[in-house]
Amino acid sequence: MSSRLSADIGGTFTDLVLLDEAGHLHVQKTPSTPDDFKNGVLNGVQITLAAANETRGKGTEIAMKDVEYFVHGATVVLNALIQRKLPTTALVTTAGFRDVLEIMRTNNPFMYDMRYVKPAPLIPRRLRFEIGERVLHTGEVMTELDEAGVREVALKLKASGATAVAVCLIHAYANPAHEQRVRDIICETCPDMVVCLSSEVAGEQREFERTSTTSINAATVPIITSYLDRLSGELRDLGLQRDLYVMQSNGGVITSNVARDLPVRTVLSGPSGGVVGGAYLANEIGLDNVVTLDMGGTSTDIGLVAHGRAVTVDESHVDGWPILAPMIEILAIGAGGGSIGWLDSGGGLRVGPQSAGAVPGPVCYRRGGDEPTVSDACLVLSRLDPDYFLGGRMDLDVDGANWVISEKVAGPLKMSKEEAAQGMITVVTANMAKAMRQILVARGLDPRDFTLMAFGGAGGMVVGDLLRASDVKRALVPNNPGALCAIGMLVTDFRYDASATLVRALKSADADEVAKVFARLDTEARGKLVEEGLRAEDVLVERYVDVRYVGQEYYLKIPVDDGPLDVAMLETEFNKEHERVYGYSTSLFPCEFVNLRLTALGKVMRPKFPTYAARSAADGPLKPDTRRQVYFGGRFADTPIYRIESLRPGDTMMGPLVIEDPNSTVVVLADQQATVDGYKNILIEEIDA
Amino acid sequence: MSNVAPMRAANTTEQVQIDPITLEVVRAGLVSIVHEMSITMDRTSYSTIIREVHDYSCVLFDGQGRLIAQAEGIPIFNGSMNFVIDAVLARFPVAEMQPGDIFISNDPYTGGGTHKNDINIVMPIFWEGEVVMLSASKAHHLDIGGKDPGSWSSDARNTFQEGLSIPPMKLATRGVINEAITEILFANMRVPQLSRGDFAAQIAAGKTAELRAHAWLKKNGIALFKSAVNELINHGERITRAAIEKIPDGVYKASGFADSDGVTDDPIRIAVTVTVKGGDIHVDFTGSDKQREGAAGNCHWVNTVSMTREFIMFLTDIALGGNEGSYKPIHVIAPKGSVFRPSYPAPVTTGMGDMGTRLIELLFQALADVLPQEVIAGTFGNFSCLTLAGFDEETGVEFVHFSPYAGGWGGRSHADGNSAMVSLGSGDNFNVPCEVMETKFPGLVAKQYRLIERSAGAGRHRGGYGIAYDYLMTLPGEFTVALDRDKYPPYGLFGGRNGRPSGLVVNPGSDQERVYARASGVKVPAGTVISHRTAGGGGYGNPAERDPQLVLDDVLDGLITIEDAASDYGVSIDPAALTIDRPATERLRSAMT
Repeated sequence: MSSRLSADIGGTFTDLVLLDEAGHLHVQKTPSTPDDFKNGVLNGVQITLAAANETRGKGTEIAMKDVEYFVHGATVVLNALIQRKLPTTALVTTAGFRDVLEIMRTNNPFMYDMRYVKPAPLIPRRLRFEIGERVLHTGEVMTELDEAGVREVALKLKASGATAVAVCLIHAYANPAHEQRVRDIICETCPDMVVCLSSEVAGEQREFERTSTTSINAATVPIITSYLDRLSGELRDLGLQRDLYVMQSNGGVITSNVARDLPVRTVLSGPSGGVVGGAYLANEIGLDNVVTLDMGGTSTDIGLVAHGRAVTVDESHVDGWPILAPMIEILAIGAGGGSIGWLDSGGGLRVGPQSAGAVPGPVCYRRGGDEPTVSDACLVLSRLDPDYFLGGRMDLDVDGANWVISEKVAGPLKMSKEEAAQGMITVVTANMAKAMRQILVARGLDPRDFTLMAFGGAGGMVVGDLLRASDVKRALVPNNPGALCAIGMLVTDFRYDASATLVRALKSADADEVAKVFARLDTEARGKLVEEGLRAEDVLVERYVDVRYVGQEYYLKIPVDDGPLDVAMLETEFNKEHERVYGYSTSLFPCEFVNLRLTALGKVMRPKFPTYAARSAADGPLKPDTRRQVYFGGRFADTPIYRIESLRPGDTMMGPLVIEDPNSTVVVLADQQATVDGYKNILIEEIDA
Repeated sequence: MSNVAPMRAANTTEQVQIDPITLEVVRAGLVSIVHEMSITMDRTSYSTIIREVHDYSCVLFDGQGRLIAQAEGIPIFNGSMNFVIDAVLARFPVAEMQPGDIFISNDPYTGGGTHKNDINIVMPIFWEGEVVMLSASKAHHLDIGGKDPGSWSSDARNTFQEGLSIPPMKLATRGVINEAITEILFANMRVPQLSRGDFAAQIAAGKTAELRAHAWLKKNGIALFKSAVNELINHGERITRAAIEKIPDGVYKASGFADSDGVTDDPIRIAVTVTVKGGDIHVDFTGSDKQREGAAGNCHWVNTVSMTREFIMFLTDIALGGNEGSYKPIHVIAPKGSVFRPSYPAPVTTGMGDMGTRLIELLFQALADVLPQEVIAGTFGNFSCLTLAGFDEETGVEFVHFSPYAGGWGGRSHADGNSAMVSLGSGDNFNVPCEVMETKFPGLVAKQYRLIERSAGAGRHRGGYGIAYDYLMTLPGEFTVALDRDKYPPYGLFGGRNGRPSGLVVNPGSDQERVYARASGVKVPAGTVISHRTAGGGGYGNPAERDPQLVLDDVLDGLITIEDAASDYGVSIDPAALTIDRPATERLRSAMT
């Protein structure tokens, strides 16, 4: 019996999904243990197995040894980075460039904010060492490496107490020889030191971004290594026979050995699972283009699935620090169930980005919160059932919610508390709609081609409002919306990305040179997956070339096939893509390419989502489980309430209505129609009157 | 949005009730349009200055030319855009505009421009046969002619030496570009190929605005738009008034000197009288010197007003820029013919940065005693631009590398000044990475790019450190530089010390070493090292009150010496153990007070 297991470790909860040999999903939720995330995972694994075995019955129990694949997110890396609990880390760089990490890009991201404080450098100046050497952008050596100087630095490193060092030399992406030699020399003096080379971690142009990425990587290698060593040891004691797998930010899975070398690629693994899960579900039900919206307590993560694939970016930021590595594109905005409503000094109503978080949380959670939140607003409007929240396990404070909305929003705005509560929802969804547009149009995508997939704890509560405020065509709330991230991890492919900067005019491109670089990237990427037990013939390789017009700064990533570089074809494809994304192409400027990129993918077995039978005679006709007064369109109205367990595929209902399950609430507005599909996903569409 | 039922309006005459919720929804929608203009600019531009430095801004006006939305960008640009629209509309009334028309200007004297490199593109947005909005973008073009490459000459003596003047003109009629204009324009630029691409980007941004505005109007209705605009503007005004009301009523004065006008080194006297009464603020620059011969000494009226607005915006709680109403309570006065309101044909290009930054700092100084939490100590000053130009014989291409530079900011009530950040008016401007610079400019190699040790002014919260950017010219070429704070260093506040002044050092440490602050078109042979060094920020508060641990940190980081710690901060550090000698520190500090 072979089973697969995944764990999505959030700041508050850990979601686990077990997929058994029959293709059934078993979903569990347990508290996370931020002091040592390992404990929460181990606890969750045991609870999940026990619950699954109870369902499956005697004689068919799954033991740890039956789990052939266990994948989980490396939240530990992100957490350490955000809290700046990093081991002592040093930097070795070219003479003259010691302060690149502290100078950053010199911008003030908050243009009117005189109180802005630049983040403290990831590595303090006293641990940033310079060495004599210089390489030019062509890869030509201008100044030979001062090996004696490197030896002196190695001694200083040894004395500094650093456990890891990032080596980032100017233009090392064009010629890594000096970085490699520096590593050899450091290792002679400091054999236990973690040494990360910028040419290996992020072999791309731009010294600050590459240094930032390499520094984060070096600082987090000791963290992920210790975590994975401890976790896999204890899982082995529980009977797990296979290696651990780790979700990467790029939406692919990698073995724990690669994760130990490149933890920077796992930083945003949690949110990426939701997008991958969304992509998988979208493929299953035949949707090509989806905006995923994971709305939690403090923030909302927005991602994209275009043409059936999760959209990735090659650079992103964590806490102001750039990371050069392919990542699932996530736009995180400060809008969640706990977002606070407030009045600006001009009397305008704003919601967020401040949040009441999990503690004290919304007033209605009875944990000491005293600011009006989106969840309080939903309760004021009776969108939430105070007696059925978390299936009745949590008793919501209706009086508290009414009080705080009246006192802090409705009173000052001279409106009723319901108008104020509805106003907060309208404002928060307007901001979310703005963010959805932003992520779509920045990629040249048309929102009207997209379906909104709303999940996370709070996604369903505002999905109807969001559909109305945005330009997407329809919305979908998946069944089991809380577990989509963990499901996503279960279905991700193995993936390894490699890239190299090579700036050449397209017209005079040397196909042999390009082929050589691609061959090197291919060996690197394919090798990583083969090392991990995949068969070479099962590895799929995709190649891309970043192209731009000479003089332009930004480039577009154009897929190419694996034959010799066809320059004419590449130029045609680039012009087509430029036309699509930016609305024009030009023959005025010659083209050049900037980076070569290669992605190796290894496919994994896919589970089937559980399907449900259509409504039978025994089920009786579709009817609401209950009714209550819910506020829609300016007044309280008698509103049908459906429980998800009572719904059947094919059921179709006109809003206003509310659909509830123990972990989520879906609110459908008037003139919107909800349809239940075979997986019990809820599809919502606007019906023009 | 049927849950906000009144928002669906059928016809254009209907008045729509605007509550604070609808207001926020409309605001988000309009900002989103401007944001998409910026995305288009960002992604379709050609030059380093736009793509890497983000030296541009996009805004939206209503059909009457009232500013209604701005997004991220450059603060000084945002406060100036209504001068552009006023100049365009004065010459080309809205009633005569046709769909597809495009208007252009750059001239501060006739076109409402900031300086000549900043070219404005204005495009009307029609709805049901009427101009309901106008989009505008302002972008810095690398070169606009004039006496020196980059058109950024602090020693220009008149406006003609600063490049081609473009009064408000109709660049396109019904979508057809008047190529006579573009041909003259490109013929006057040293690097026209990049500007061609950047023009396309500006026009693409305007088209984006039109497309999005149409979609928005289709969904929400023109009646809602027209009603909401008035309330949006009122809302902007209320926010500004709320900020001004926090300043106690009174009259506040400050005066000082700017370093040079670029032609003569006589200090320039600058003075301001600020009168706060309720929600209104009057800012009067009477008492400042008469306009100067050189560009570095003149702040054009457009920039004087814009920078003053900018300063007030620092005090408000707006995150994404203001609108027409935000500026209503701000009243600016300067005598005609003075350095803050020079008369034609005075040169004004670099003065926008030189004098404009001084202007903001003068206001900080005037209000320091009543706004000690909000003000900051002296910064490194202007944009500190450097142009490096040369000719690559191998490829036959002339290169021009123009960039603003970062420096040290002043200490504040709650924190040290930031090191290495762009100047006060520059906002979200980025540097050009060294690796990108070398790839694009064949004659330049970065020798070093680092913080300048010992450059920050001491204080309870010290200033930020300036930066040194050393270039090696591998081809013969020339440089033009416009630094600031070389004579009058960034000032300390409330007992904080001044920061270290700036300077451009040619061939540092050699027997040909020469130091400049403002110079134009200086020819240099291959092999020359040019070290551009910006000033450190001023300190805030008494240095003897600084946490000794933070002083030790700066020593350990090599940013100050053990001797500095003792003399500037009264902190005694054991040179062997590198720890704080507490008793000795107490002795030093009690001797300081």
